[in-house]
Amino acid sequence: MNSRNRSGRTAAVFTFALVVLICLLFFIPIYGAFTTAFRLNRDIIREGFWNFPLPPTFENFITVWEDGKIRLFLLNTVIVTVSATVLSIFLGSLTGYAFGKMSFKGSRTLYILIVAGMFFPPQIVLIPLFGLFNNLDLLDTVRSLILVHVGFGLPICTLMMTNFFKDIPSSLRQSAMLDGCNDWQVLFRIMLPLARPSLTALLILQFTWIWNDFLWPLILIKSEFRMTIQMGILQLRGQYGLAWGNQAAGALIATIPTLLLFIFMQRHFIHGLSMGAVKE
Amino acid sequence: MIQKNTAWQFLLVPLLVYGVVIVYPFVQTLYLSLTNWDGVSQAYDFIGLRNYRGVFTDPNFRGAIYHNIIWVMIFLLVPTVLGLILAVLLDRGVPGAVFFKSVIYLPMIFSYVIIGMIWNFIYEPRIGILNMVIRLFGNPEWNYAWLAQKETALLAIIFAASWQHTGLCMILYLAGLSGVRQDLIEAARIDGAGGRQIFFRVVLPQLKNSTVVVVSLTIINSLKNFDLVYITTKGGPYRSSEVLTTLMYRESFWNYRMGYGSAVASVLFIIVFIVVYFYFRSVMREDHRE
Repeated sequence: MNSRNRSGRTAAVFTFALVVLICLLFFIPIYGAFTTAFRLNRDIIREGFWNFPLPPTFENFITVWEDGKIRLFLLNTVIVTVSATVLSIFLGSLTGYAFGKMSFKGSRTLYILIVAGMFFPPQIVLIPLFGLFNNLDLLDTVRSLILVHVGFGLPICTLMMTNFFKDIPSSLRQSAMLDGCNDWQVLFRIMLPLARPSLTALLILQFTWIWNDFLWPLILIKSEFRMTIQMGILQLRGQYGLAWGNQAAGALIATIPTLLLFIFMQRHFIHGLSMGAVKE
Repeated sequence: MIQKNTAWQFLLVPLLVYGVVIVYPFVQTLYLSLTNWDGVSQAYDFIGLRNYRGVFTDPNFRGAIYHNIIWVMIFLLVPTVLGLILAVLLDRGVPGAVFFKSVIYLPMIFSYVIIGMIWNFIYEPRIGILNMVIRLFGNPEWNYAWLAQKETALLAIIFAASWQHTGLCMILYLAGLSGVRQDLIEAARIDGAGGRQIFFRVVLPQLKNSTVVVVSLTIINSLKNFDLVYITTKGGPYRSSEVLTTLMYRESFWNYRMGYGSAVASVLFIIVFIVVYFYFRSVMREDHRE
């Protein structure tokens, strides 16, 4: 018994060491980029991306911020991300309610058709959408970006909201209707207030994906003053060439919103990801 | 109870958006793949399957498919297995598990633009961390440009993508592990099964559903990736890291061969469709059984 105990303890120590090692390896790239943002370029070129910044300098952040473009990029991204996130979740609540609580002919097929869109590679519709927005004179507008993100967000929002509404007892809807509510009132007054956890998870997922998107602005946006932050960061990389510190500072600024969401709402983020993938 | 069916009121606007953004453009892609549209002119010809014949005899297309296959295989090996191992280890209540999980999740919140930059700090020939380590422990003259050499560009990109993808695999396996029946594990232990036997004979079979999800998502994610390749190498050098998505982009938006690009996109769709079909089928079969 004693030897078995000891081997159990050895195994635990070994497990712990393995986990620490893997996590260290995972953290190295982030460490390198993070510390680079707080170091002067001449130090980086002399010492490489390794040394800890002592004392840390904020010069890179000041340079990037004073340049002014990044503020515009951030503003554009906030407009796109917030409106597309809210709209896609709103529309997803409508479809979710219809699929989860109403029965109608073809409901199952329509549901699968929409949810399958989750896997749809956006590259497949790049060309026609480029053509469509060109014809509608919507190329190079923020509106085109919002529309695309709402369309591509609809599948995951539909999936999560349908699952949520399915789990709510139908008696709730029936008794509200006996009291004279119509379906719209049931949805907005009774059901959505209960949906907080699903709505929060969707909010985080949608916000992160849209904020981080690079493909659509690459295709649809041409003018610099309409660019979103991801394109802007790439632009800054070109502009600052070998100015590693400035690049890293810009990248860190661009990551702050998603980083804050992650730090304070990690549970919802994880919940959303596992729900979205595992549940059919 | 008598109630009017008002489902269409709820579905009208969402379906309109979905139709405009996804369904209609998708049908158009299939149509355009049969034309020689250049993306600018109003007029174009219907040329039948000529684009597809072109695609399948194009060495660049074959190269891209080959690179996609490598990507899928590495993605099925590295992040998937790593995610499973981490999930099993962290599920056992290692001290500080919450913190370690966060470290593995963290890369998921970065955009591919940022990931490209982060990994450039690793791969940079002169001051990148990787070469610095090699210089420290081996060749002091070493300044290999990982992303600029055709032998390593693709692998370097896939490795960076794996770093990001591991978190998702771990989440999915952790969700699966929470449903594994502890009584079966106990029973196996009482019967004298060792740790390895328990894992492969008792735990892993119960993770079958998670594995289906992980494998499907992994394949689709590796086929979908465009951003990271575009940002790091744009498919180069000498197309050594070209994948289907970058090939499609290059032909359509640089060479103005929108018809040809649409044919590449259609092939991509067919591959993804097959994967999604099997995914839905196995998920639904499980649903049915319950």
